[in-house]
Amino acid sequence: MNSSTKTDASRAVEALFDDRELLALKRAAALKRRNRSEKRFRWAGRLSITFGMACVLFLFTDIISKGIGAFTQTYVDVEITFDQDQLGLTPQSTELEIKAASFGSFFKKALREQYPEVTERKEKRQLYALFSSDMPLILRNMVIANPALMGTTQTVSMIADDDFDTYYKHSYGRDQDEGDQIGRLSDLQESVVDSLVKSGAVVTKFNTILFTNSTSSEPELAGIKGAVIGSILTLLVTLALSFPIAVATAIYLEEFAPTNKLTDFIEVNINNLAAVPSVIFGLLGLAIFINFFGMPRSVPLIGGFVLTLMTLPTIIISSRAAIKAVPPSIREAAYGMGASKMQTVLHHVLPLAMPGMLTGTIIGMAQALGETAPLLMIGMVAFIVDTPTGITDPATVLPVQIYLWSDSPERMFVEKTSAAIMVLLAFLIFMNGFAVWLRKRLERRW
Amino acid sequence: MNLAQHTTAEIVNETYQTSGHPLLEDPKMRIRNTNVFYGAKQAIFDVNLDIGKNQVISMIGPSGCGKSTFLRCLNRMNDTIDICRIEGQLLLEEQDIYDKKIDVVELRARVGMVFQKPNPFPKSIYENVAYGARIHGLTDNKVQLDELVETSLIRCGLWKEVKDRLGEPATGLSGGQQQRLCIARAIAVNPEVILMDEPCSALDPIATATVEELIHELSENFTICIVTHSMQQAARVSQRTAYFHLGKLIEVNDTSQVFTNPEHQLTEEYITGRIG
Ligand SMILES: Nc1ncnc2c1ncn2[C@@H]1O[C@H](COP(=O)(O)OP(=O)(O)O)[C@@H](O)[C@H]1O
Ligand SMILES: [Mg+2]
Repeated sequence: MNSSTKTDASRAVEALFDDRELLALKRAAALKRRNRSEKRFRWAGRLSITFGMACVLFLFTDIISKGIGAFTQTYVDVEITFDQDQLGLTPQSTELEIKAASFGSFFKKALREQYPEVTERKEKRQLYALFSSDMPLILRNMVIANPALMGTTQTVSMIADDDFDTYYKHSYGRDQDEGDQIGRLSDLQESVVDSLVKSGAVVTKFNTILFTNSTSSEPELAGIKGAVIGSILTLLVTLALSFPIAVATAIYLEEFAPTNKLTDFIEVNINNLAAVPSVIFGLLGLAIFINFFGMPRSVPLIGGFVLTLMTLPTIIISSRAAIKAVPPSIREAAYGMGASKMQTVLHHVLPLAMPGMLTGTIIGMAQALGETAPLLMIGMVAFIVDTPTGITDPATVLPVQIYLWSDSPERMFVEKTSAAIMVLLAFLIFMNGFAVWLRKRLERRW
Repeated sequence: MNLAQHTTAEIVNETYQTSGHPLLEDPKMRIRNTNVFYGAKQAIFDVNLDIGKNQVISMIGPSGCGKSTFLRCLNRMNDTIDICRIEGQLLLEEQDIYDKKIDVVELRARVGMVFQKPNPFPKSIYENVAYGARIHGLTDNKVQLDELVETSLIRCGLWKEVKDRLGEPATGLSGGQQQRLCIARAIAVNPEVILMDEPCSALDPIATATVEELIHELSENFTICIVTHSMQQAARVSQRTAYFHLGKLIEVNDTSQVFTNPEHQLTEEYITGRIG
């Protein structure tokens, strides 16, 4: 190009004006090039979408295949005679008396009677271990609820221990994986289970324990209720603080603040804040709320404070974008009618910006729901068996629960980890779906 | 073209003094020695003009000559532009509208405005018309408000078209209907002056004719200042015409005289199409 002389160039241009056929040829070549590059671009797009979808699909199948088992639990139907003599109780016993009775030894004796051939101490222990350690408690509660059970024989659906459950699901269930390690049952335990299965006493049911219990050191008794409630309480605190603060900030910055160095500085810093790693906010919360103000650890209130710091920039930025998107002609119309600045904002700008603001808020909340690191810093990682009842009760949250369970070696905890992830994802999908629905609904009005 | 601009600029500078009759007896508004600046750039130069009661005055001139800027001074809409600065004296019924004691909310209730692009609020037709009465507290109850909305819509000739769909979004109306709705919204607070900035430039000829007729009817009760780029429109709707050029008010006269026998050379060049 550069080497061509001026006369060459002028000759070429002259040819363009003289020769229509040459023009047509050049145009055809250019068109071909353009079509080719468009096609290439389309394929690149399709390829990346396929890759993305494949990743999502892989993630989902992996989690679902691992976690689906946790939604069922193995139970064993056992005939139990509530022996009046052994428990020292009658149908007329008071609750206090029932509570004092020794259901532990009663339960063990009942099991021994079912398997008279088991005599050795070690073997007896193995027999007891096939059932959840909560069973005596459950039997006691049955009697408290209905003292008339005393002296009768009942078929009780007993919760199988996690090793039992794992062995059963993998030896008889959907995914029989021969050769794979299938739990930690002894030969005796396996033979007991096999005979129980043969007699038709073993059933799997939908696992309500997963949703009605909080965490436990016993895998078969561990549930996500406490973590879900902890998450909800924490998110409520976050929402109650971050939405009004962020919206007020956004409105002030967009509509009222003068444009000067200070507001520029604030704007830059809000944008920077959005990029700060969340663990830093956890450290900040630890230093300020817990160490300086002496607030309690591990509580949703502080978790909410910390997540508020984290989500504020997200909501402020999206709220400002939503306010900016309101056409200036609407503001002019309001001013022209004699509306004050505040009226213009409240009557016209805010309703139009609200869908965008809410979308940003829900996205911020979804981020907060999935956040782990900052909550670890303020101690919401403790092993908490009690379900929290308020924002100042010690609690943990769903993602932290997932983190804790994923550390446990028991096969059932691996399953429950995936199940908890599924629940978390369901929450996230629900929240995002809600955001989309809300936006559609609010926008459709006009 | 360049040459023409050069010479006209010279003409303006050498001979600047508004020709015709910019001043009136007992006007609605008086504008004296007014300069407007956007930052360091001056957009309006030493304008003196009176706006007559219950008259239509139209402002014409090449685009960028400052018509909108001038119009927006009259209800202080320029206050919303940070870099805009206004000097001079602007009186509404002998009251300085830039006085510190004057509340712009009150001023804009007395001097309403209709914009170039129809800009109804994205609310119902009813709410659009009722809005001014609501914020200025003009009516005491729903019945009065209903009555006010109906009256305003009737005066704008829109009632028949929308009476069955008052609850529907105003944005669903046609462009011409939207602009008449904006006029109804403006007159619902019974202002003394209505400013209109090229109100028909986004409308088709039929809608334009309807709006022009409306302006004509409204001039019985309101003082109207209309900016237009259409000389025919100025001739049809206004009693007086002001010609602006590069931020200067060149000539003010009765409309018929401006279009048949302009005093100033620049006015003549503009109306005969030599400046555009
Ligand atoms: N918001 C603004 N900021 C800076 N300059 C402006 C602004 N609005 C108008 N101007 C300038 O003021 C002059 C007059 O503009 P305008 O009043 O809109 O003219 P017209 O309405 O007659 O076409 C133009 O030179 C324009 O560039
Ligand atoms: Mg203009």
